Amino acid sequence: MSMIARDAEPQSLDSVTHRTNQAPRWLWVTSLLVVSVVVAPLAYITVEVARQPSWGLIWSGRTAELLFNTTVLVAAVTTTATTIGVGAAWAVTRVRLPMPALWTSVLALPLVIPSYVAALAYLAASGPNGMFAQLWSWPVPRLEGLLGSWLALSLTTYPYVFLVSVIALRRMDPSLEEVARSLGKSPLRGFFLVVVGQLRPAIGASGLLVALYTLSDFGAVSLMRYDTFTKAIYAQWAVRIDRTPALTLALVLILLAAIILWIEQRTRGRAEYFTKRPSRPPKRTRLSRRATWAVQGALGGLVVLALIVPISVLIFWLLRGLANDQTLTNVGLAGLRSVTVSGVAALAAAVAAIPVAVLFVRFPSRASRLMERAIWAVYALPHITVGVAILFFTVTLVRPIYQSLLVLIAAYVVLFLPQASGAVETALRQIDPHIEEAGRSMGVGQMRSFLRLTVPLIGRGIASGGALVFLTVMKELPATLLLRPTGYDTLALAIWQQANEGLYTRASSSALVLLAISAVPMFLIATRTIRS
Amino acid sequence: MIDQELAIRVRGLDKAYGNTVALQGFNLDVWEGNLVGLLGPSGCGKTTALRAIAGFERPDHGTIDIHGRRIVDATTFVLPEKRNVGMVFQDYALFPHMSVASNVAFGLPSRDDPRVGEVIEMVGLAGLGTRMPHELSGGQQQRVALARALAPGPGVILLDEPFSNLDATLRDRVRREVRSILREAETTAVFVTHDQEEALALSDVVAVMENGTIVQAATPDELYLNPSTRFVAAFVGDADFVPGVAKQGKVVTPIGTFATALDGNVSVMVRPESVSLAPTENGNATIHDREFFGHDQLYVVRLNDGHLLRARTGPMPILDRHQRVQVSVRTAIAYPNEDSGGHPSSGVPGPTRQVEP
Repeated sequence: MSMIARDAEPQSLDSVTHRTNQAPRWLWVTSLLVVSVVVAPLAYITVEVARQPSWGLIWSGRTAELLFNTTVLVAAVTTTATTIGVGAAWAVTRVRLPMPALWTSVLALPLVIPSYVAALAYLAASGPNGMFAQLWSWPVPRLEGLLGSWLALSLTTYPYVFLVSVIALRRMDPSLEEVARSLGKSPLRGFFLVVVGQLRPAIGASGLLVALYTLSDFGAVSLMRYDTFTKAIYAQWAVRIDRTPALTLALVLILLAAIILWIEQRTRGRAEYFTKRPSRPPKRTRLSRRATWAVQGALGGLVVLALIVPISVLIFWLLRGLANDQTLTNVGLAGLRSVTVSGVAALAAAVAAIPVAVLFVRFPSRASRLMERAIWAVYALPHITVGVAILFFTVTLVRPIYQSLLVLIAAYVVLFLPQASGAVETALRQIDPHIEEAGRSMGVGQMRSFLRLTVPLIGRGIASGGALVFLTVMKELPATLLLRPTGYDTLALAIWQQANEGLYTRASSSALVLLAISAVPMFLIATRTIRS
Repeated sequence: MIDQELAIRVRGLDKAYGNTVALQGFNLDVWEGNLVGLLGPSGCGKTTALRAIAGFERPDHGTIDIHGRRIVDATTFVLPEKRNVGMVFQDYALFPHMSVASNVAFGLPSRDDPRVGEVIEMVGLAGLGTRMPHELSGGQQQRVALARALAPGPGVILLDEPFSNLDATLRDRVRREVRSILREAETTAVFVTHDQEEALALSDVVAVMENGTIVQAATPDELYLNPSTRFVAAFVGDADFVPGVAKQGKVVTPIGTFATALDGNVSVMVRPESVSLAPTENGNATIHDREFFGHDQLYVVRLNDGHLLRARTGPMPILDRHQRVQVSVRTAIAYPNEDSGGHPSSGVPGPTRQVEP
C-alpha cells in the first residue's frame, strides 16, 4: 500500500454556504460509477469466499504459521520504526545540533526507497557473495528471512513516523516543556512526561501507517524469503490457478488490516492535543559536547544504514557489472513502460477524482460520506489482495480484457484514487464556494461556470494529485505483477524478478533508474510538507 | 411611488432546513429603481431570502416574480443564470485567476464588449482593468464585484452584507459611492445588512425581518419615528421601555402620562433624544452615568422606581453623578406587553404626545 498520509483538512469555507441544494444528477452518476469500480473487486472477494469458504485452509497449521510470521514482523517493524522515528524527530527539533535543516532532509530521504529496493540492497551487500565480502572480505552473514525483512522494512518506514513527529513537535507549545523543566524535571524526563504524551496521536497515526505498510508488503518479504500472507497469496496464485485458496488468504489479510485500523481507533483517546499555533518556536536544549556527538553519531549511523549503504550497494553492483562488460539490456524499455503506465494511470485517476471530490466537498450527505469512506477503505487494503480480487474478477466476469493494459490502469485507479481525490478536495476547500454562484448570477450556466471558474482554480490540486499517483504507481509491485500483460515488465517488476534470481547487477541498474525517476520529485513533495 | 412598476414581488415564501425555519410567510415588494435594505439580526433569514430571489435556494412554498415574470412557484424554478439578477457577495467572490476586465467580462458575450470599459469607468476603476484582484484594496475589490454584477445589465441587483468586509474608516465612503453608482445605473437593488445605521442611511425603503418574515417595510424616517412593533422599535435606533397601565385612552407612567388607544399593561418606548433633563431638588430621577462624545452626550438616569432611562442631549448641560433631575419626555409610543412579535392590539400606534406636562 502507499504511504502518503491524507492531507490535514485546511480551514473550510463551507460554513458560509448553505449546503442544502441537491447535487446535479451528472455528478451523482459519474461519482457512483467511479466509486463502484473501486469497490467492485472487494465486493467480489467477499461474495466469492462466502459462497465456497475453504474452512480447511483457514483452520490449517499453514494459516497459523502465516499469522504468526506476519504478526511478528508487523510488531517488530512498527516498534522499531516508531522508536527510531520519534527519537530522530526529537533530536532534530529539540536538541541544539549543527545544521538541523540538513539533518531533517537527509533523515527523511529513505522515504523514497521502495522496500524491495532496500531488500535488494541488503541482500546484495551481505553474505559470502555480497559487497562487504567482495570489497573488504567482511564476513557479514546473509541478511534474509525475518532479520532481513525487519531491517529493510524498518529502515524504509521510519521516515513516516519521523516526518509526522517533526511536524507535531514543531506545532507543540514549548511552554509545556518549560513547565516540566521549572518543576524540576531533566530535559529527557520532561520529554517523556510531557512531549511523548502529546505526540500520541501523531505516533498512533504514523505507527498505523507503518503497520499497514508492513502487513501489505510483498516485495521485501518475497525477496527475503520470509513467509507472510502476501507471499503465500502470490504463491497460491503462481502454483495453481484454483482461485479459492488465494482469495481466502486475501480475505484473512483484509481482516488483519481491519483489526489494525480498529485498534488504532480504539486507542486514540479523546484529548485535544495540539495547540493551534505556538506563540514562539520550540527551544532547543543544549547538550554537553559529548552528548551532542553521541546524538550526531546515532543519527549518522541511521543515515549510513538506511541511505548510504543501500545506494552504495546499488552503485557498486552497477560499476562491477560495467567493469565486467555485462550488458544492461532492457532497462530503457522497462523505464519507458513504467513512465507510460504511470502517466496514463495518473491522468485517469486525476480525471476520476474530479467528480468524486466535488461531490464530497460541495454536496456532503450521508451517501457521499459513505462513498468517501469506501474509497479510503480500499486504499488501506494490501495491494496484493486488491490485485488478486481484480485478477479473478476479470478472469471470471470480463474475460476479454484479462491481462490487458486497461485492467492494469483501472487497478491503479482503484488503488490510488484517494491520493488524487484528496488533493482535489484540499484545493476545492481552499476556493470560495461563492465563485460558481457569482458566475451563474452573471448568466453563465452551471457546467460552464464549473469549467471556466472552478477547474482552473483547482488545476494545481488536480496536477499535484496526479503527480502523487504517478510516483506511487512507478514503484507499485504486487498488483502490477498479477495484472500486467504477459511480458510487460516495468522497472519495479524488473527489479523484483532480477533480484529474485540473484542478478544483482541488472537489478541494481533498474533500481537506480527507478530512484532517479521517482525519488527526486517524491523528496521534493515530502520536504515541502515539512516546511509548511 | 404608487404609479411605479413593481420590480420584485415575493409572496408567502417558506424555507426550512430540517427543524430550522429560515423563512416563514416572507412577503416583499420592491419598486422599480428603489434601493431596499433588508435589515434584521443574524439568523433571521435575510440571506436566505436574498439567495432565494437569486435562485441559489429553492423555497419550500411561495412565489417570486421579477418584472412581472414568474420565476418561482410550486412548479416553476428558473435557474439562477436565467433570472437576469446580479449578485454581489459578502466576500466579493472575485475570480482570483482573472484580471479585473476578465472578471467584468465574464457575464458578457465577448471579452471585447465595450460594456466592460464602460462599467469599469462607472465604478471609478478606469485604468485598472489589467490588475488582478489580489492587487486591489478592499474598497476596489468591492467595486469590481459591483461592476461585474452590473455589466450584463441585470434587472435587479442583490447585495449580501456588501460593506461588512470593509474597515470602519472606509465603510462610510464606499457606502456613499455604491449608492451613487446604483443611482447612476438606475438599477433596482436589494441589500442585506444587520447594521441598522447602514440600512437607514442607504435605503429608500427598509424592510425589517424577524424570525423569517418581514415585520415592517417603510421609509427610513417612517420606520424610525413610527415602528410598528416593540421589536422594530428596539432594533432600529436606541429605545428604552418604561412600564405603565393604560385605560380610557391614557397611559400613566413615572415619566408622564401619554395618549394611547391600548388597554391594560403596556410598555412605553422612549427614544433618548426625546428625553430632556432639568436639574431640580425634587426631580423624579438621579444621574446614574454619563458618556461625553463632544457633539452630544448620553446620560443614563435612574428613575425613582429604579428603571434606567437614556437621554441624549447636546454638549450642555453638565450634570454630576447622583444629581437629582426632572425627566420630561416629548414623544413616546405604547406597545402591548404581551407583545410576542405581533402587532399592537389596536392597530398601528401613532406617536403620542404627552397629554399632561
